[in-house]
Amino acid sequence: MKRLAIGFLVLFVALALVGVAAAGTAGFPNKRITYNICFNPGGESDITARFQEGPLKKILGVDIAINYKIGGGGALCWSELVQTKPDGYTIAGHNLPHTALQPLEMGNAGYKTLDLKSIYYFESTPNLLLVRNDSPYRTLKDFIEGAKKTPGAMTVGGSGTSSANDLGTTMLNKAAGIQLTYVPFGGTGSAVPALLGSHVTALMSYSTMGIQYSGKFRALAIASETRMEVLPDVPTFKEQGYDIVEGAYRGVAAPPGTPDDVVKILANAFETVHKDPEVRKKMDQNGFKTEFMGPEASLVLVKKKMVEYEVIMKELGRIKK
Amino acid sequence: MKTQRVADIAVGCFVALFGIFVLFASTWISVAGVHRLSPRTFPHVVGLLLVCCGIGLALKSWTLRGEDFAIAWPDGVGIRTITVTLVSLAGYIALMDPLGLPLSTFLYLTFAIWYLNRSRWLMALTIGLITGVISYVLFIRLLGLSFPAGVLFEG
Amino acid sequence: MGFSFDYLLQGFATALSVQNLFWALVGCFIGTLVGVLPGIGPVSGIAILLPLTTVLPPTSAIIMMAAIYYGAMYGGSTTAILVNIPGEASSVPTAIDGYEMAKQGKAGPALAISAIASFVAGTLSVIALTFFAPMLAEFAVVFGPPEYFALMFMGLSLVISLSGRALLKGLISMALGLGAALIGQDPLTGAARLTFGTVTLNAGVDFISVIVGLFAISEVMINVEQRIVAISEMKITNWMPTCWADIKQCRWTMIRCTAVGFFLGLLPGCAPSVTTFVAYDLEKRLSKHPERFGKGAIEGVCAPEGANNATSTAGFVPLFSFGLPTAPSMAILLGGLMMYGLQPGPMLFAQNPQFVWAVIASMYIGNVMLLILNLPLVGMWAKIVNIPFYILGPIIVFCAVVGTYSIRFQAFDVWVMLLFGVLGYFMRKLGFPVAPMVLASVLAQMLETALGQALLISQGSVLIFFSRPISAVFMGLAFLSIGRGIWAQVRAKAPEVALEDPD
Repeated sequence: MKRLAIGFLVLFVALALVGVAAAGTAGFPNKRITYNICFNPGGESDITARFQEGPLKKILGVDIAINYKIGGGGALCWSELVQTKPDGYTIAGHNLPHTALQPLEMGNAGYKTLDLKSIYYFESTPNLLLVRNDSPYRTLKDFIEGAKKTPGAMTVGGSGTSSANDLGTTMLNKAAGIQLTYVPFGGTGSAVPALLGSHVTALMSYSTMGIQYSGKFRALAIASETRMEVLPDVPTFKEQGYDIVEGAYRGVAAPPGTPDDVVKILANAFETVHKDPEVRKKMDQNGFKTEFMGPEASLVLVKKKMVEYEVIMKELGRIKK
Repeated sequence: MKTQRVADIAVGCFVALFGIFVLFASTWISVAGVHRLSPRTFPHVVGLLLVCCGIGLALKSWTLRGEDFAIAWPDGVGIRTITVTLVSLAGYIALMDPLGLPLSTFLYLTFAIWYLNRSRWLMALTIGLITGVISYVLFIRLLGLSFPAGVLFEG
Repeated sequence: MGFSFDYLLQGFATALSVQNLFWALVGCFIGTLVGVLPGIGPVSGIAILLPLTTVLPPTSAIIMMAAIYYGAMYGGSTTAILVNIPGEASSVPTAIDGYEMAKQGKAGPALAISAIASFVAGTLSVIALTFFAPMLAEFAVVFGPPEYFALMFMGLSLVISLSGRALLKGLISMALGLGAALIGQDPLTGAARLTFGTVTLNAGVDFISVIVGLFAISEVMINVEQRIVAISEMKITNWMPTCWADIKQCRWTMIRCTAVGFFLGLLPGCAPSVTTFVAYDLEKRLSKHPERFGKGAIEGVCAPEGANNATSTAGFVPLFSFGLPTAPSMAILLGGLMMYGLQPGPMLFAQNPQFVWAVIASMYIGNVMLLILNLPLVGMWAKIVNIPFYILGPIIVFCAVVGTYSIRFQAFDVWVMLLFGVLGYFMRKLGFPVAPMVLASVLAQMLETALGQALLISQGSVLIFFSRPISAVFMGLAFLSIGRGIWAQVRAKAPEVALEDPD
């Protein structure tokens, strides 16, 4: 028995030494990167990450492990991110306006907007107002009229609190003078079943869902400047008289203090992924608008939005003046 | 707290006090935002439940007329064994980040096994060593999980 | 989505190819291994094997990933039975009776029935999936926030029956579990709760650390204190002689737990941890001798195990019918599908039938494989309980620490485990039931989220829970359960507060 034990011992020590010897050298990255998603599986952040997973692996040469940290409309994920070791091996999906709104609106969101170190912003999706195909509301006008008759009774589901969907609903309320009740879900992935089952009247979701569920849902309006190519029949809010342009920007962020050169490597990787024509095509087909904003450009966008949103939130009465 | 009845009274009171503490701590919760269900509701329910059940338990035990049971607390040797076990576990956790998983595992296992059976110190050492190495090879190298590798293997 | 025998047969043909069989085997094996470690669940297992999937053809890759998922379910129950470490929250009910059986030297039959129940439930579920997927998918979306709340509330009312005669203590245990789950950010508004301003507590307390602490660590403490020689010194009963008798005893249990596990598993967001508790409780209530539960009743192992497997299989229904993954592991499968260019969404099934049917066929095969893989090993696994405790104990602690640390790679979670270990020790000494705490901490977040959403929909009215048929039924069951529990307490009067039935 003792001999057996010592035999094993030698074997393992040998293996370990081999392991150490064959160990990769330094140089980022040399082991798996964890990519945290802040919303339910099946949502936009998730789908995008799935598209990116394969190409990222080829470019960076390491595995990408997708992980979910759901809660607080994303606040849970981001507040955890700011406490994670800033070595570049943990990144998280980064969303605007969520990360700008939450610290403003929540007493203590667990993070400050500028704590999240932007790596890249790669896509945006405008808000889309959806109802079921068998809903009595055929146009935005019908919908608003219905809302005027029953203030507070019509419910609009969406992803997260203090998020694009949330803000979009408040904007619609103000612009049309109606009172819709916003019901937050952990992500688009859990909001969609709510509409499928008619538990909410409508969804303030994103362009992606308009495409994915085109057979089951009817899109009433899209919150972009002009109509999207992939959704040519959906009129914009602007066309219909309501100046609402809002949606979510999505990217990735790293914990504060992550070294700039590490951020640069990651940023380049993401840029290459999205410049790939295959990926580009898939994204377009699914209703995403590709953006190319590296670390500096992202920071500029975030700061700009922070200022903008503070004004909007005060106007809408969501935060005190 | 030798008997069940006395213990229950004591625990009941303690739980009620804890419930009051929870109620107090939940007053710091911010209620900003739009919602129908206040973030303070559930914590208040929990606190209330603790207070009511705690008092209920204490009262019920106090008015108990019937059999009483002795609680099987450990004897002196038992207490010492548990304390050492807990302290060594705490040490393991505390040393994990600075020393790394493999080394702290080796130290902990060797100590713990030896402590539980003084005569087999060589076995303790062997198992400690093997497990330490396995934890490195399997978890850190093969599976690539982000455990701290510690002073011996970092780099 | 059309079902045709043709597709299914084609699917079998693909799934039975030597290559795919091999990869399914690899998946099952790795899944079992991964499931044995607490904290490292199927999500990590699949993530680890991702590199392999790029070199495999899509069908083989998906088959392997699905096999890992199943295998992990088996692995989690093995440790729950042998050393009282539930691999995931869903293995907790298994640990309650399974570990008792192990202590009585019956680890073999426990492991065996767990494998068999899983197989039966899994196979029945796959059959249901094959024939009824579209109808079932419709059922899945019928549940909205009010129904979820009612279901969770009914789940909480299980505390009454899980507390035995110690109702007040059970409620306290439940309240503590709810409280622990509340720490961190409110799921709907993000407000910080019970965090005392610290940033670490903002992320909350992970329930794996709570469970591992309450079960594994407190058990180690008790064993160490009593200076036991080994978990069981009895000679291990061979599972084979009693096998048929055991199956016969559990035959209705298996059917019931499959039904419960499957239907609840269809609901997006209903985790296996909930369904296993419900199945366990159902058996306890329907049993002629409910006092056997908690002391090594074989039905107590059979029910959660079957329910577990049924739930995992049911999770495929929303995935294939709507493209909606209902759990992180499903999302990974979805990701796998997307990597191969398949479009997520309701059209998935319609546009790629051969592929989907191949995966379904492989699920049948996976079930058989796991049974074949695990049964012979039962004898070997079971011997673990004979290992002298002075070796096994520290190793259990090692596994617990590693598993807990791997949740978020933060020492904080391991400290939480230690804390709950000490708490668990005192709870046992003082006669507090542990199961309600676990159940409450598992249900808490969904309960609160659903309540918040439901109240927004109803504009603050509580009547919504009673005006909708499904949720009214669950609420009714819940109140019935609560009423019965209180009545039993009041009638029994007497000394039972002192005489708590610990788990």
